[in-house]
Amino acid sequence: MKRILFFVLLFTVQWVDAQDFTVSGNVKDATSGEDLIGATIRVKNMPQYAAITNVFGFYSLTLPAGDYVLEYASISFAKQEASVSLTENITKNIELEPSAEVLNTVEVTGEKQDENVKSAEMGVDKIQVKDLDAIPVLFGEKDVMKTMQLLPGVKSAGEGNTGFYVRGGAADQNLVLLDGAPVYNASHMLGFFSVFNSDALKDVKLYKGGAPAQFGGRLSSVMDIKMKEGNMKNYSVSGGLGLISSKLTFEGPIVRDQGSFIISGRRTYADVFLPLFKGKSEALAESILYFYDLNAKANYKFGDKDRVFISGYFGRDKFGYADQFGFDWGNTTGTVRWNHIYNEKLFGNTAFTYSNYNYKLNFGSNDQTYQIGSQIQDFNLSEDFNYYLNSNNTLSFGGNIIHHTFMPGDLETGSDVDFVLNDLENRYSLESALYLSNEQKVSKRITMIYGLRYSNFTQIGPGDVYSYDVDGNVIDTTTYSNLEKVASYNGLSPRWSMSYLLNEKSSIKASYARTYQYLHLLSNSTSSLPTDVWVPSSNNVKPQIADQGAIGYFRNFKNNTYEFSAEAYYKYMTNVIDYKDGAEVTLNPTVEGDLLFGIGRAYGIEFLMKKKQGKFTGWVSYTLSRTEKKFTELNSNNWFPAKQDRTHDASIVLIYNITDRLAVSGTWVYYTGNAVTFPSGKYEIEGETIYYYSERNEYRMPDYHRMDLGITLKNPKFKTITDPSTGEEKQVPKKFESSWNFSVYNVYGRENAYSISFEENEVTGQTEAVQLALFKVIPSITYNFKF
Amino acid sequence: MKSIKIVSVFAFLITLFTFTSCEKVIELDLNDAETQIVIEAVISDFNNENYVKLSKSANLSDSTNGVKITDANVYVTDQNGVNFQFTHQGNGYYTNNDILTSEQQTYFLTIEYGDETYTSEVTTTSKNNIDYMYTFGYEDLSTDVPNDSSYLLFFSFLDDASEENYYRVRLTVNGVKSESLYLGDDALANGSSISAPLFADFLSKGDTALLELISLDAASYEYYYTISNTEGGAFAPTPANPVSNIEGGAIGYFAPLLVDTMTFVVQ
Repeated sequence: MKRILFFVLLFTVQWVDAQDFTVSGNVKDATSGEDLIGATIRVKNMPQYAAITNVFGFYSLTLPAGDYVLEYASISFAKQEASVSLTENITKNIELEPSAEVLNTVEVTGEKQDENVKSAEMGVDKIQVKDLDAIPVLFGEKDVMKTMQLLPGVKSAGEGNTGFYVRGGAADQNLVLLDGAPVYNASHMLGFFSVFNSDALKDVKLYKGGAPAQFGGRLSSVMDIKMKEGNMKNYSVSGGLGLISSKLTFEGPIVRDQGSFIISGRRTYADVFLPLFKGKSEALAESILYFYDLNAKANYKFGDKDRVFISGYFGRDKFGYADQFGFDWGNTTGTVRWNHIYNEKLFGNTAFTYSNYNYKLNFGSNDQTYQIGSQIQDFNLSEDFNYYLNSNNTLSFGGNIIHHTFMPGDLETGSDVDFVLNDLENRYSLESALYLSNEQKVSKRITMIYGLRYSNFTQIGPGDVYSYDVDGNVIDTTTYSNLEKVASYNGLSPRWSMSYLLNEKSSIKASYARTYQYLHLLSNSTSSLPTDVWVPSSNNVKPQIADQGAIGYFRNFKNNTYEFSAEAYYKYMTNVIDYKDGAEVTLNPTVEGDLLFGIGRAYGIEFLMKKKQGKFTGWVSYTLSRTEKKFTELNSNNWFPAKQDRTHDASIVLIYNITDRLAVSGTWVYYTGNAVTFPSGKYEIEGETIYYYSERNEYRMPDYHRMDLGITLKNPKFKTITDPSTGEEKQVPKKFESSWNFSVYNVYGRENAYSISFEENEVTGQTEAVQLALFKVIPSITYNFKF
Repeated sequence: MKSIKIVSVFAFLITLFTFTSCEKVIELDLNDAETQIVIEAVISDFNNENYVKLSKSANLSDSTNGVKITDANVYVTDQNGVNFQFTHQGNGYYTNNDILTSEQQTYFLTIEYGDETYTSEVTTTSKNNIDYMYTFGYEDLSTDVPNDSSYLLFFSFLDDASEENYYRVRLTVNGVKSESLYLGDDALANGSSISAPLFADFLSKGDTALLELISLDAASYEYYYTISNTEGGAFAPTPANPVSNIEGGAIGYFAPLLVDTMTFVVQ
């Protein structure tokens, strides 16, 4: 605990003010008891004093001694006032009631309305999971990761895909955290679904640029996903029946207002129908194809100052073909978290997280089998503090250490196979970081967040480590013993962002961040595959480094009904990875010799116009951007477009609440096709036509566009009963709530290219391009309920 | 041995899953690359398989795979300086009947065409021999005929522990060559007795299978390995040209084969 004292002392010297007192506490949802993230606490008539709850609903506000009226507010909740008399440090816990008729109220209470203008944060997208309900999606399976892709600067990795690119970054440059635990492969079914069951989620925040110093380890973005805590007041069951999957959630108090739990499960059942193919296609009838997820979380308060959370995720995809072939993969994460309020100003969060991603492939049957397994496993211990120094300064500091284990290939054979395959060697590394950051209201107009993050990555033994020549041939092998240092890298990442308020309605913001990435996902194919390999930085692979600067203009119109923002960014990346021609990334012990290292740059401008209130809500976003790479070995050392380079990327999301029971919605997306490598000639080898390629990524896929529509019909929330004593008729809320959702994906049946292949026309002998489109019009229906 | 590509499995999964997928021919504006000289040169110790095929690459809009080169001077020299001249048999196909490759020997290929000279140098490894073959029968799901058995052919051999070995396996069933390109190296099983199935071919009772286990040098193995990357597709690596071992600006390869064969009748 010495470290805390050090930081505290450092800053208290400057800021000692004996006459200030602190009001601190928790803000919660009165119906469910869930903590409210980002609720604001303001002093009435004194707008210069304000605080925001952290991700655990905790706030702390330091004021000169005196009497105040505090206003507590959060989006979709009724504002609440509380009088406090500050003659000493006090605790004030508040529960906010959901605003009853959100749709009919002209002015939606919720004070964070001008947050986008006033906060120093930029390049941040937030999604409240309940906002997902209305937006139409593929197979009716609502998905935070797909909805994120409708925001500016975030691009879909492909048709129906949950993978995403942020500001020109590759898919592996996104840190996806579930309750603080990294999720290494966030997709099910080759990316058509994300591993995140939206029924179990509470809040999603995506940092596209200057992520706070607390986060590190990836170049381009941090997606911070928080699971629900569970209802503190009542037991409740909710669920949904869909075309592809069904889900069920059970939550409730462990001890009312002291602890709660939530368990949520989801399973797809496309495979249930496969036996129907019996007699028609035995191959289909004998196949297995499904995935499932299980999320669970529990929390308990020990007194006023301590709270413990335990959460876990387990999900798995299973695919099989009779008894000859089996393939399954999935993530497991676990988090144990302890929140402690040291005093009214110091909030501490200690967490231990575990994360594992693995896949297994089986061939053959009986004892004549071959099995290939691969996994990555993390243990992480982290310590984070928020120190609410005064109403102008909020400090965050802490550190973490992660132990990574990489098992690239574990090979096993059945007892009838008379030879042994050697496993690929495991790799081990330690990744650690320390950070300090401050959010400071410099003046009435200027707010700044600045910080510094120091990180270290050390590759450790045991194992044989190779050195390569320029052609990728092994020239030397060194054997390291247990825990012996092989290679080590350090990084110092400054983070800075600032907002300057032009007036009450508009601001200018700027940010700069440097990021380091020590783990790299090797994916040599166009689509993401469960078999893609994570490799750590090593003696051969240097960390990727990015510098990103951004400026933005933010303005709200009509009493914060409309939000407008424009952000321009420039990102420069070094040690970015590409592959030698024909590199094999799976089960290759010398894969590092097949890698190429170069530089990258990405720049663009993002526009967002959003309407947040009223019957009609939604947004329009547009991004104009360029992403390029440069490698000595590729395209004659010229800059060439990265796969994810898309000149134009636009989306429109509209939701119209016709009545409080009926809502219609529509989305439309458009983007320039990915850069892709196509042939420019052909020749013959062994009697077969072989294509000749001149440059990498010199062609484009056709442009992509699609429209989806959805209708949500809620069954009546209230029923009319006759009061037996008075005979009066009155409306009471129903215990059982339900809704229907109908949606159509790709309404106008656009055949968007998923892949393009080449073949010879049988008549003319000329080469033809054949496009594969995956989804034409896909209608779906989902029934959701809650009681 | 890495003899199966999981790519086909993913393709299968995708079609299962996306019942509305559809294919169509589209118009793409593709560039015309500069014409390349294409060399396919093979020398062997089996069946007199010594040939060189010479052609030029074509544009994608052309109806053929390119014109043949019929007037080149082609010869192979061994490490003792013995010269083997190849003679043109027509249609860009050159042969020689005297070469017989052997273990740990270096061979030099020279092709003179126009003002250009193309060369390649290769060194053979040791020759690894098939020990035995066997089949594994099971109910065939692909034919949709219940109880119709199919057989998967396995072969077994001892890998030479003293060096890195690279293999190609060719299968001929009842006189018809299989189109599958079976490749493997000993990176994960050096010095072991390796047995592997020929995953992509299914045999029936009574079939006669001729198996050729070809020991390759590293460079020609890499050519075969990377030629499978020229097709592209959603689950395949970024397509690229195969890694050639020809010097002088031509594409293609020069491969010395050391072939061991075994015949097996499915009982």
